[in-house]
Amino acid sequence: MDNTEKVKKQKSKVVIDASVLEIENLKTQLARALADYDNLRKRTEREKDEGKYLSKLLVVSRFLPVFDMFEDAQKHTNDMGLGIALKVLQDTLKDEGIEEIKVKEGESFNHETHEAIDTIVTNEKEDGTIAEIALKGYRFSNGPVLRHAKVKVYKAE
Amino acid sequence: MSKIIGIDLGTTNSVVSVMEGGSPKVIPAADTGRNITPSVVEPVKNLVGDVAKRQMVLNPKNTIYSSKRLMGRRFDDSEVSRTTKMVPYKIVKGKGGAAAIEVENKEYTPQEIGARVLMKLKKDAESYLGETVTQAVITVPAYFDDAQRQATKQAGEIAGLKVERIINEPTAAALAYGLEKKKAEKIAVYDLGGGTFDISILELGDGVFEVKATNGDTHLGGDDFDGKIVDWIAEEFRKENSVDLKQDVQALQRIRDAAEKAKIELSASTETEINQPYIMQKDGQPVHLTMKLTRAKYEGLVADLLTRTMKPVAEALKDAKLTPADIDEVIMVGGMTRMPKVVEEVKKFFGKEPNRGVNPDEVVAIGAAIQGGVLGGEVKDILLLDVTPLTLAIETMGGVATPMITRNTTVPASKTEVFSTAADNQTQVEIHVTQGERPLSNDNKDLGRFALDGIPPSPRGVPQVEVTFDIDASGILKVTAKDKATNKTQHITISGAVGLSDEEIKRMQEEAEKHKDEDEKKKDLISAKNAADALVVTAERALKDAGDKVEVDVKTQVEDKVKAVKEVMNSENKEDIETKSKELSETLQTIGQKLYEAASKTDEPKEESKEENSSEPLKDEKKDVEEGEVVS
Repeated sequence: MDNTEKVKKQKSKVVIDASVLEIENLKTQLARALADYDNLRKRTEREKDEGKYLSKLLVVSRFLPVFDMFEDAQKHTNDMGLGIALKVLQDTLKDEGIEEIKVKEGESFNHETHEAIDTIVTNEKEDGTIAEIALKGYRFSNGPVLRHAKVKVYKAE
Repeated sequence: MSKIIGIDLGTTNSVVSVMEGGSPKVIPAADTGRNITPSVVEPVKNLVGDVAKRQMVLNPKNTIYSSKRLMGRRFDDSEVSRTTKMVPYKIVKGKGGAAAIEVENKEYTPQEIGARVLMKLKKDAESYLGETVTQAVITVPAYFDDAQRQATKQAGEIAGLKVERIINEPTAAALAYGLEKKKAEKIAVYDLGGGTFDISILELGDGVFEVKATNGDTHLGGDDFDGKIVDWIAEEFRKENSVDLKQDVQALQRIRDAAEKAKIELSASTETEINQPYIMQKDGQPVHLTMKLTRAKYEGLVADLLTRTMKPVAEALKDAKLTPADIDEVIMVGGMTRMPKVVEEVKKFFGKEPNRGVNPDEVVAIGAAIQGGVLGGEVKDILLLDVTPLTLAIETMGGVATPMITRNTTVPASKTEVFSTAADNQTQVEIHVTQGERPLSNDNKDLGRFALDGIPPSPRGVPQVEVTFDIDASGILKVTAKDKATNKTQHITISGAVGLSDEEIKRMQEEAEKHKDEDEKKKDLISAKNAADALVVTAERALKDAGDKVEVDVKTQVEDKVKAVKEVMNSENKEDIETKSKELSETLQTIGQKLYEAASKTDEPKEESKEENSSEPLKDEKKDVEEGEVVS
């Protein structure tokens, strides 16, 4: 009799232990889910702002090559009308907070804003300085870079 | 309870992912916002990823890429000698005969270089998660031997990560597709990445993936495909202009970019234009590059590359002692598998549609994150959040299925909308609940129906019946209808709104896709009929309300137009219905002033024809009710 009681008790203890474990498990999972949700909420806030940048970045980045083509055309035709149009386009970009990355010949290569596409080997210029701008770069004023300026760089022999 | 991140440390690019709320999320690089980071390292200035890549031509001897090819290999390994010939940086014999990299007289092990990439990914993950990350699951190719796996693990440790597990890339891909839950036993993973091609045959037994065979080509990838296009462009251009574009670095750079863009576009369309005006000068005159590349032409250009991938596939199967028919599932990994021809070839070989729903650039990292989630106890026994596989809708006027809870909504979810009646003095509405993607209720699955009666008799559009769809976590749908005037409610409980079999869901989705055009037409016709019906009601009511306040000829004019609309209303000609409706509407408008003035003195809620247009009210064909026309 005593023994069966014991077994019974043990059995119910096992059942209780299992339930306690189950509750613990569920608690942990709930905590995780809540934490994930809270973090998600915070990040969504943050990303909302970034999203604005990002959507602009995606659209404008696709138009930059077209802009380049017009600028190339202007170099050859030197048309006054096209010149005005390009100026307006520049201003519009500026209004949207996008500006050209100003690169001067002779300044040092900066991996944050420049992308080196070629080197020009010479001993007459300072090593690691810009020789030529191959393609203009653009950035958000004090924000991320839309397109790095593609440059050729002097390299000592 | 810090998270275990999953890392795909690739030869060309690396990706990091993490489990979040029970599902994997790829973490974008903090500096670029892109999901992939080039596996490029400049160890002296400690530049990693895109920034290192941008200065590569300046410091070719200092910029390490493809270091995975050296990981855990001896200096005299044939792959190392092959890599030595390929890269501009210096590969030396390091400690114990292992391959090492020498930069500015300092020796770096491939582990240290790999660690730099891992460190960056770790940092990106930390800034994304807002917490410290100390544990990771890292993937390696299935053919990596013990030394290579050990070296990868060391790289993790150098980066300050406890490597909880090293898993095979194909296994990770299989995990990402949840194949361990399916009964798939034999799996082929076709991985065509930026610079390498791997085929792996896996076998699943007791929840463990075993690699049965691997094969591949360590020097075949997306870059080769780009190269073929670049060559073609340069050759075509040379034929036309007798100038070699490849001699001009700047021009070459432009056609490389254009080639990659063309390659991507040809995955979605069958033809693309390559336009690079002012590509160079010839005799002081600008020369423009403009050409068309068709998908067929491109496929011809890369045909030999594709053939090169299929041979190892056959070899691997042979090694695994299997035939293509034995394979239960095929998985596509790597950006190049977006190319339709690749999919076609693989499909042809195995005779089955490959799995490719998960982004092929990210699938390995996603699988690693899932493994991390399992190890961290996040995935095990998780309260799985289910989604509604198909749209739950209510039938409205003309048999239109008006969606209440759209497909892929995570449950539990609830949605309430107010509907009205379609006929005057209608005292009962019938709520008909359906499931499916087709616009008409009849074509969808019937889940159940019930009636709400006792609505006080009023003109059509006046009663407000609030319908609520509430679906709980276990997929039980409760639909409640409440008359807002009397607060009388009626409801129905439907179980199994979520738990459809995969086949059933697929079939219904396919059907919806197949019938899309005709369904749209049918729905448009019904919308036109509904609009016409509403207009007729408005006109008749206005006439009645105006009584003798309008002149007889005006009245006749309206009545004629109403008659005209009624005549065509039951036809199947949408144009006719719309034309006649428009005429009636115009007549009403031109003569309407008086009519409306008279009418507005009597009653009239703000219900107008446009309300019915939006297919809000529900009409049912069932005829057992007093009014015949029932709406909610």
